[in-house]
Amino acid sequence: MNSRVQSGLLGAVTRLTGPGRSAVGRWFVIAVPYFWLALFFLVPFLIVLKIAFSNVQLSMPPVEPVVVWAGDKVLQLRLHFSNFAFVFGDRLYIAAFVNSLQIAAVSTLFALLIGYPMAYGIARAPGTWRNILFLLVVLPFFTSFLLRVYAWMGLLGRNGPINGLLLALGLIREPVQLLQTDFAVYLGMVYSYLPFMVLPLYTAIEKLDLTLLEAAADLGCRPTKAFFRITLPLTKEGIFAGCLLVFIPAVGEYVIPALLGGPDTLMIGRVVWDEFFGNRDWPVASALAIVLLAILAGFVLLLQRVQSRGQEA
Amino acid sequence: MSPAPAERAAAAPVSGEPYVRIDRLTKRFGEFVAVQQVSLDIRRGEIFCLLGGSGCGKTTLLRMLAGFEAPSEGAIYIDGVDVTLVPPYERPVNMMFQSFALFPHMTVEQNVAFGLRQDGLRGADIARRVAEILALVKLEGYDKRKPHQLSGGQKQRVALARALVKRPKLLLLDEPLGALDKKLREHTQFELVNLQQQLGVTFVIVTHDQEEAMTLAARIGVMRAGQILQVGTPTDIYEFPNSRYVADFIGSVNLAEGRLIEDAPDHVRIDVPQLGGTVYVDHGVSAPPDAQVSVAIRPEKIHLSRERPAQQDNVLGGVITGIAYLGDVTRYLVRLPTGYVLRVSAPNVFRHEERLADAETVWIHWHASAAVVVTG
Repeated sequence: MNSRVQSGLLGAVTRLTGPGRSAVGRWFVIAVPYFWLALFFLVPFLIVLKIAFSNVQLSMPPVEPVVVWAGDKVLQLRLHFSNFAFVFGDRLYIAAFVNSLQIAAVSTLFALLIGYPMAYGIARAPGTWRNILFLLVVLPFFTSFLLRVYAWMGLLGRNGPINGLLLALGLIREPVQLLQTDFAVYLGMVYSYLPFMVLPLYTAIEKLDLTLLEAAADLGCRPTKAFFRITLPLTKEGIFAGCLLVFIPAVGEYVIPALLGGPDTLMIGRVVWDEFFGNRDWPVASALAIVLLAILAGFVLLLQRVQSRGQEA
Repeated sequence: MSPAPAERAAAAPVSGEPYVRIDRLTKRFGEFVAVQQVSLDIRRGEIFCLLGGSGCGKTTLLRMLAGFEAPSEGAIYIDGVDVTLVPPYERPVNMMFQSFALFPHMTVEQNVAFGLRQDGLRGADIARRVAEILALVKLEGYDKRKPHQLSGGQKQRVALARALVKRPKLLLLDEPLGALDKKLREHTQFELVNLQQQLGVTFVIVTHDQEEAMTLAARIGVMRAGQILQVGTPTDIYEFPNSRYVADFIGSVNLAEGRLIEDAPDHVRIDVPQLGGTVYVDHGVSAPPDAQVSVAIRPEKIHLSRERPAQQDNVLGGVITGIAYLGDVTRYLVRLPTGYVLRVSAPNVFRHEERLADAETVWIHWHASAAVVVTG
């Protein structure tokens, strides 16, 4: 359905601009969002990149300029690679990266395991139900993300309803520590990013031709086997898209580990925050951000290559 | 409607027991009855065609044979075994879907091998049988292609190969030629029949296209509103329709209402006010005297002439109001004095022929055996 929507959009754009004015019209339509992205994404990125190669200095901003006048009409470019060396040299940062990737990966896996049956159920539900269920998935977005995470703090607290319920059921004698644990971080992650998993999966499952499953059954394939041989491979794109949409923001997540995680929950988002606002070491914070970006870009490229190879074969 | 005892006896195969027996099968979707008390016998190695308009229940009947729909009532026997409640993945039946339903992520070879894999065959056996069937449908060399790299006709062959490779007792074909263009259809029709004769598999075809049904099928069952109206050979259905609906559905026909005024064992005479006269038919009719009947006359059985023909009966005068020259035949519309417009088609046998012209007054006549009298 993705490609259909895309071609539909493209068609609409072409029709809007018409064949005669198409060159100018198309250029304009593409230029506006790209200008926006350049202004608010590329420029800030370049600033961060610049700071990453700078050095700390007691001033405002607390960094040395990268381009300096060195006396007689000589423009000097001073790049400090020490920040990157520092980042890769410190076990804390490495641990933060590994931990972030691991928490994001596990959260993504759980979101997939929960999201796939959800998306499947919604896609196969009868017409009116499908719309209602779909709306329910999107409904959390009507409330602020921050508020929802705060709500989990209340739910998971020592005197929160979850502990209350467990006590009432007699499963525990005294309140257990739920908040400020890794468990709470995983819970918050899966809860927050589940819709991003469900939506692309729903699209992929919904467009799956059901006669293919009938054909599989007709050829002697039992339903469970047909799921793994037909449904799963044909919804692969939805799985990739959903995993990327969950994994990427989860790696750099700051709010959830900060609010739900404990003091020993080490995630790169928090480390960047601490370097930036605590230590006021902008160059190291920027270097961390750049390394994170490089890692994620690597993941995206890798997945894309795997996916395109899958389509060719 | 269950067929009359006499009809069932006539349909019983020479070789004894029917191969596929459908016994009073009914399927309801809520209030809607899609298939109603259908009983049908299909012989081993036969091509049987279910023909009907959309919503007549033919596809539901086919889906019940495949096992995709559970019947509300009745039973299905294949080769003497009751398969009514057997799930599709355990039935000795395969289906060729209208959309072909090829697995897009698998190659031609993997698609065809899919069914054999489910049976747990050895790799070497699978490879041999896949190669055999691909050769049979003339698709050698295409085994590594994906469905999106194939033309419509090639996809159809893959779908056919995939369904046939398991050597099913019964092959179901849902509008097998529906997705193909006209040229390819004609070619494929004959290929399909050839293949069926080579393999001897029993075919049940569903179609709304009467031409497809006539060319492919040994016998046709005409369906309407969940019931089978008539079962017979293409000739039976065309020349001896048992109801107005069947006469009208198959081919083109002139239908008129009449009253039986003369009823003898060897002939009948029917007063047909719409035609402004009586129609003489040289065979008996099983209807009470004075009964209201319909008279059906095929356009190609009516002749036009400038001079009054010699015969006494079945002669009318009229004016040509429309001519369509189609090359092999010419179709005429002839208005009778009563206002009834008769469809007539005449073969163009001679190249140099003085053709009838529009608005010309002509005589119309037909043979005493041409008209069919239907009571239903």
